[in-house]
Amino acid sequence: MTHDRFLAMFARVEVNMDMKKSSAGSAIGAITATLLGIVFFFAIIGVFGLEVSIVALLMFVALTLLIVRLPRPASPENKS
Amino acid sequence: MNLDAATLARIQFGFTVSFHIIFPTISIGLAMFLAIVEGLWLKTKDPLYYRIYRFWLGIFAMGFGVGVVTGIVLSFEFGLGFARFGQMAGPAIGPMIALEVLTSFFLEAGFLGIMLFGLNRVGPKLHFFATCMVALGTLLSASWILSANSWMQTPDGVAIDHGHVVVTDWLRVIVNPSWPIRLPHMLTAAYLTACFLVSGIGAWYLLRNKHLEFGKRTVSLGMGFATVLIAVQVFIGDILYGRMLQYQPAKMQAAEGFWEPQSESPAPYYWIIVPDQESQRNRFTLGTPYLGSIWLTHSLDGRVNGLKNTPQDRQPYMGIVFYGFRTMYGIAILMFSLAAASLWLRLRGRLFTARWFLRALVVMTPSGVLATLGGWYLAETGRQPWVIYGVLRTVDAVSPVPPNVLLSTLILFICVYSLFLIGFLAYTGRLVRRGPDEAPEYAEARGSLKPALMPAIGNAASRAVQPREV
Repeated sequence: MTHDRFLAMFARVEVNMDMKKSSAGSAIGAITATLLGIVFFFAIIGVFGLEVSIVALLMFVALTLLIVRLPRPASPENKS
Repeated sequence: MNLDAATLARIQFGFTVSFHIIFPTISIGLAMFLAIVEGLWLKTKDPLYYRIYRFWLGIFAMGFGVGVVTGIVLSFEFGLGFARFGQMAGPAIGPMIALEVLTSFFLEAGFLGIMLFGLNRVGPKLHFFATCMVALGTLLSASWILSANSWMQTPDGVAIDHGHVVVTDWLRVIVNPSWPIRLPHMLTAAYLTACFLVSGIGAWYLLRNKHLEFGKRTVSLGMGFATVLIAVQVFIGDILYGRMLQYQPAKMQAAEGFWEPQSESPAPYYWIIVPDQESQRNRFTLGTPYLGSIWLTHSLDGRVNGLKNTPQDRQPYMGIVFYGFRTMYGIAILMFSLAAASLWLRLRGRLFTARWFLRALVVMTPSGVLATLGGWYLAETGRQPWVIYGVLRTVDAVSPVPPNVLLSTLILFICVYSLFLIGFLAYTGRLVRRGPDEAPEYAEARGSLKPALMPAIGNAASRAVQPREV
């Protein structure tokens, strides 16, 4: 195996590891978001009482407004 | 099933009101959406908002028209099918229907023309004012109708004198115990309907790689509002559940699918049941363990009251009440899930590119209408056997007319309403296929539906979008 081929293979392995890390991070993020969504739903529906329900509703609305108004970097999908 | 006058009157009213409710739900929601979009256009001067406004104005106009026509029929049906209800409850219900006409219809009639035909004829601010007034009119209309219907659910402020209702306190008639919760519940349902309708069409364009800016903006606006509204709706729904448990326990007992006076502990949450009303049991159940206790009693081992707590001659039919509730609630859970997913995707900058999400939005386009229908079936069939809860039974409210009169008018309604539905779907489908760039500069006033239903022709394609100066 030549030195160049070894480097190319190493680079491929590194890219694969980065992709795995990124997809693992994305999966963890998605699972966390799902669990957070379920907790919000149970709280808003009154499982933990009216006071918690009101607080959860206000937090959910605030979170929504924060994310909607968050400035996003110009990505291909955001460009006009 | 024995097709007697009472059954036929109920089927006829059920059919006509189910058809009718689709259109006010859409027009109440779209009117508010249009007011917001036009406000954003005036504020930002962004012509994209103008395109969105023009596109949805046509669909709003068609929905509004069908809603008005089918709504008028309902008033006549009080006389045709439920004359005894009118005789007894007229002094309470009549003025509320009249006030709906005097406040909301007059307001809508005054400004609808400016809204539909005035985009290039009046100033932008006056036009925006007209749009706001139409949105306010739809809100007032819903308010009066919900007040009348809520009074039938939780009657208050009246005395019964020789079989007639005598109003003793008008404020208690209008602001009856269920109205303050049912009104926001219905309005939020209408706004959610519009959000998912708008988002679904926007997502369809994005999936087809057409009208991308229009699609992105409508999906962003629709899901932004939907996320806030579904959380508010879940909160209001839970409060309404508690209120109904207090005033109409039989309805909620039927809605949960339990028969025994006390369920097992912990109680499951049923998703599917096959109820047997005669033998007062379920032939089949499918549910999630513990979830009934957690959701309904807010504890891990709470028991849920069943329908046997209500005497059999005062029980509603469990099947239709249960599935009405599950349709509404199931769709609400799906809406909440999609709203939460939209936040996650928006945060990651993938709101407009995640194809699974866009496909889900397209599937959910009519979800608001279906959830509203489910909710109304829960409300109306769960009140049975009463037409005015605890005061007048439905069988005693029916007009003394021969069943064949009701059957023939029912067949007529089905035929005419089928034409309405075909017309609405064909017109809306045509507007959606043509896309926002081909939306007319203002609503076209023509004497016939024929031009609207004809396939798009070449001259429409040549029109360019020319937003006027604000």
